[in-house]
Amino acid sequence: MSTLRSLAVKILHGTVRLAPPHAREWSSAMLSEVDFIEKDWSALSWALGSTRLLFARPTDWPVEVCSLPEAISDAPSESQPAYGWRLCPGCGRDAGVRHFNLRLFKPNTATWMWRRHSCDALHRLSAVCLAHS
Amino acid sequence: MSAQTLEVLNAFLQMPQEWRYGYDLSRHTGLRSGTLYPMLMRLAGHKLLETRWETCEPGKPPRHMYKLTASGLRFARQQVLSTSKLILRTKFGSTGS
Repeated sequence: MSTLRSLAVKILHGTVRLAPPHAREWSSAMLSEVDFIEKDWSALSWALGSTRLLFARPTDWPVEVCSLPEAISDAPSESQPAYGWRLCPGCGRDAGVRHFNLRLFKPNTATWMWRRHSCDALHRLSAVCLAHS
Repeated sequence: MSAQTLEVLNAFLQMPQEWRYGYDLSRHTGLRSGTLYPMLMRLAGHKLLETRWETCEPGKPPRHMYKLTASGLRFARQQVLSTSKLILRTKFGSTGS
């Protein structure tokens, strides 16, 4: 197994471990799928995408979609999640993570972040990992 | 509804009875995994998508497969149709009917 692929598998294993319960099956699905991706770089890109599942919540369905289909009304009402913002212990964590991502991945600031604030970024990342564990 | 969601629904509509897997959908729609999977999660959460695990090849892990439910198919057709009408109306100024 190449270095890139083993890195991809490690990322995916981490995602499975850290994913919230509702996303765990999906991160496992992404992990199993990586064995069917031939190119190593594609596998790594696939694995990096899986980290978004760490922040996926069952409530972030766009409002305009919720009101549209008759299909949705077929589902039993108790299975429908509440839409919009909801206070929960994960919100603070999510807000922190989103702030971290915004600063880290905003194109103009990414280089700046890594050069000048890599310690700060690593500190935030480790805080996120601790919050998940 | 986002264009990406429409892409995914359209991909499902092309083979409505077939079970699809994530990488296949990703290649078909050009969406990255980080965009595709949260979308699939939401569709499944609203009972528009059914999922199952299937062992496809010996020696490889089972794959998570996806197919639109009956209500998912109705929803997808409705969305794709209304978007097509909207595009026609915008482009040609007609009602698109």
